[in-house]
Amino acid sequence: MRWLLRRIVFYIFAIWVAATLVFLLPRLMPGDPIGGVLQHITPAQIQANPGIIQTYEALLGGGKGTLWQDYLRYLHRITHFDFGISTSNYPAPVSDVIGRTLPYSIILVGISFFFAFVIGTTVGMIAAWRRGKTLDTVVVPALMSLGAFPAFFIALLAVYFLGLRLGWFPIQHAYDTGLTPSFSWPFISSSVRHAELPALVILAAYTGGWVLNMRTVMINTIGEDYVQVGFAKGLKDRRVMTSYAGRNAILPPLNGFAAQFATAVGGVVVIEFVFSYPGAGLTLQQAVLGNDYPLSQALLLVLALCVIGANFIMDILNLILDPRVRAS
Amino acid sequence: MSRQPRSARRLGLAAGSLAAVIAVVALAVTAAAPAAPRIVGSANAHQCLVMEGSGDASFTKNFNPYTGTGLPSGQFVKGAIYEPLMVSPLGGKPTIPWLAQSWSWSNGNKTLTLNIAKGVKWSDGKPMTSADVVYSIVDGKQSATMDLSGYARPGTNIASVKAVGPYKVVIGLHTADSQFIISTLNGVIVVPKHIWQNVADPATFTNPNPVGTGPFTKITRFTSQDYVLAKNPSYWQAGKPLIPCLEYVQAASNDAALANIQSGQVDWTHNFVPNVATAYVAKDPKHFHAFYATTAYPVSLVFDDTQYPYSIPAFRKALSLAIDRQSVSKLGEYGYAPATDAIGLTGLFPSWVADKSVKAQAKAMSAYDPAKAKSTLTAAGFTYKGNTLLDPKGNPVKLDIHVISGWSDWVASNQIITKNLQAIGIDSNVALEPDWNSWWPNASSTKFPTLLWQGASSASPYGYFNANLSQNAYIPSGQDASSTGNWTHTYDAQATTLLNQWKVTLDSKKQQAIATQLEKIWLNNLPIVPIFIGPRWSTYSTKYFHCFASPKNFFGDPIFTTYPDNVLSFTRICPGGRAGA
Repeated sequence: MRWLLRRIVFYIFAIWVAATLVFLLPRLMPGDPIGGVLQHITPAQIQANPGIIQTYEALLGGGKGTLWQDYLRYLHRITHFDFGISTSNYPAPVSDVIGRTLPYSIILVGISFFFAFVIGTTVGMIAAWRRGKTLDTVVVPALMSLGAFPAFFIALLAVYFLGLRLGWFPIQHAYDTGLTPSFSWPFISSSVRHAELPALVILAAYTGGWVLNMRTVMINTIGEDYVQVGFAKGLKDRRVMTSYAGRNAILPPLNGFAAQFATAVGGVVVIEFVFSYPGAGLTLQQAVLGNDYPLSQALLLVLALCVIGANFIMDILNLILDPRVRAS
Repeated sequence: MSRQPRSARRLGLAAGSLAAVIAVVALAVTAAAPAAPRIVGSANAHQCLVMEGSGDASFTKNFNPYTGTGLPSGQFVKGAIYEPLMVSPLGGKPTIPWLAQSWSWSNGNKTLTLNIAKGVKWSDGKPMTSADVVYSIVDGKQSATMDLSGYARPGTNIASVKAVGPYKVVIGLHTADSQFIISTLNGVIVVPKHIWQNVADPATFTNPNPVGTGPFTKITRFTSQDYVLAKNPSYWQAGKPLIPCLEYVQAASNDAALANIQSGQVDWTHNFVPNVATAYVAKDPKHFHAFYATTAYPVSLVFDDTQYPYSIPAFRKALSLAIDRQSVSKLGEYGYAPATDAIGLTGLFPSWVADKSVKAQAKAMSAYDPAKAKSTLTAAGFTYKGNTLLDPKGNPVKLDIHVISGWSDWVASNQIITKNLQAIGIDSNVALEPDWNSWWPNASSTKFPTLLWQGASSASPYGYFNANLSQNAYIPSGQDASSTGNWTHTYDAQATTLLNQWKVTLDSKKQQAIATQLEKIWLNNLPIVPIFIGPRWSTYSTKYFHCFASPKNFFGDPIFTTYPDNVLSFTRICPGGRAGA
């Protein structure tokens, strides 16, 4: 229990550091929110709307304080879950924008990342068990070569070949233009259609890592005495693989899940951009480019909390799976 | 359990990787076979005119005409939902009556009487009257956000606005103003008084159920990636609009935007498409068109004219002679943006440069001639040390041009320009800026030399001269000049007097004479160096609709976000596909 308490204190500290960093990062970039809004307007539009710059200055420029004052106000606000108004979505509150976009990312990233983990560890486990067989010599290297490419590169290839050239998949948006989000069959089937290619890309990009990770640990585990004991007991091959070797081998990859999750969250920003997928990643990209401080800091904070949360869940899972941690 | 010798496993690994590579190559080969780009998933029967921009975030609902202009949802609220009193289209075409059906000046051109159209209804069924028009001009008193006429700003020229009966509005001015209709009233929108006077804070109001007089007032769908504005069934112009609805779809990137127009899914956009002839038009030459209207102001090389050596007129003139505008236009701007003369009005207002000798001089001053550029410099006290140009004070001349790295055409143009300047001994390089935020604050205050556009009204060249020469537009050195466009941070006393005369003169012949004098001052000074016309990009498909603004049918700015010209497009574009134009 003391261990858990210590972890919780550590997480609170981590959240404070994350909150401070996400406050500082957008402000270290050149420019201001007004420029962020104006860059969406073409030179031609600025030309045709004299006074537009002044209008936005009046709307967005008010209430400028020192960095320190802003920081204290920001801390006070986020402890009350008040994230302010998104300047690039004027005058929508940040919470609205996040509420609208985050579910898409959670579903897409959550599901495909979970599958990447499950498929990856399973393939890794079986490949280690049957080394040199087809799965080990063909599927493992293929997944690893795919995983060696950056996710955005695979995404671009997928858009061009599978989407544009072959036309097998829709290449942008979360659902067909013309549908309204609702719990209806046309909408759900269309959103599944649109999520297929980004999900495939995430699978292709992230499965390889798990395979390699699991396979290495598994090979070590296979040599352990307790595995031999399992065989000596006359247990079935599959039973020894899953309950004796697999269960022990899964611990290091599981610990790595949280770390990998952070990488994936970063990769998702780019994947969502390539697919024009209206999730939190694309919104973050637009918010950062648009110098939308309230929105980018809130989104970064949410992402940081996701990673911290994933770590926390892993800690608890460890507690359940690994008796040694429980004992300490 | 199987165990294998290590070498065999390595071989297996190699074989596996090879298989993966072969699979990728095979996919690439099959895919490289020529196939028309297809987009899966549109169930759209193409009822609506589909439009797009680029780089849009997922849509937030804001149909407030005063604050939404920079958002995807608010881009053409002005024009589609709210209408102007009159339309003074691009290029000084005659002003077209709109909600004001006619008008007349009296009292020494200080009183303007507007006759408001009869039978116009708001989309909620209430009649539109002179009270609404008066309110729309003076509403800046309620909230500065709404002040499109400048009525509540200090030093306003509007003395009074009164309704006389339900269909007449009388506006009194402090001094006569020839630009009042084409640049002030032209930008005003008419909004319903009965709605807006009750809006507590117009700056944060999102106007979820807009009530307007315009051709498309009903929001029939709104999602984070597209929205539809349907026809106003009780529109006051009989039989219009000709099409049932406007639809705007999200394109998060340039690539996505290009794929949308190539597939024919989107009908109309104002994105710049490099190499448009092969990237777009060639996909369906009968229906896909690019109209890059060159009826526009120039893009010019600007600098702070108070800073040495930009403060030397001969230096600016030498730069103009040293730059090979034809190459910039052909190589930098893909041939879409024609080169200008030294005045820069060749695209938008050629008829305003009427004097033959002025015209010839403007042409001569923009002709590529490095030798003459050098002699101009040495005559003004510049010297050469080897190949390096030294200013009259003896320092080497350095001139870096800053540009956003993503603006590929401007980057290419600047590369040519800096090469040209190097050729006359100036240490000149292109300085790339990563994004708008790094570039704009210094560009708008001319802290460094840059290419920049002109922000004046497109209805008369008055604003162009005013921004660059008049004391009324003067912004001191170092400050953001975007409010008036005085990028040079200088003015000319004589030109100010002439512009003040122009302002109060409604007689077009007198205006012409003043323009000629201003052009002479311009060429004497050359405050900025006009390089090429900044085209008004429009790519459109006539597969499902026609009657777009085109070279043959040029009625106004072809960009759908330009108010009030866009109201012309919205009421003229007609249904049905047609090959050509």
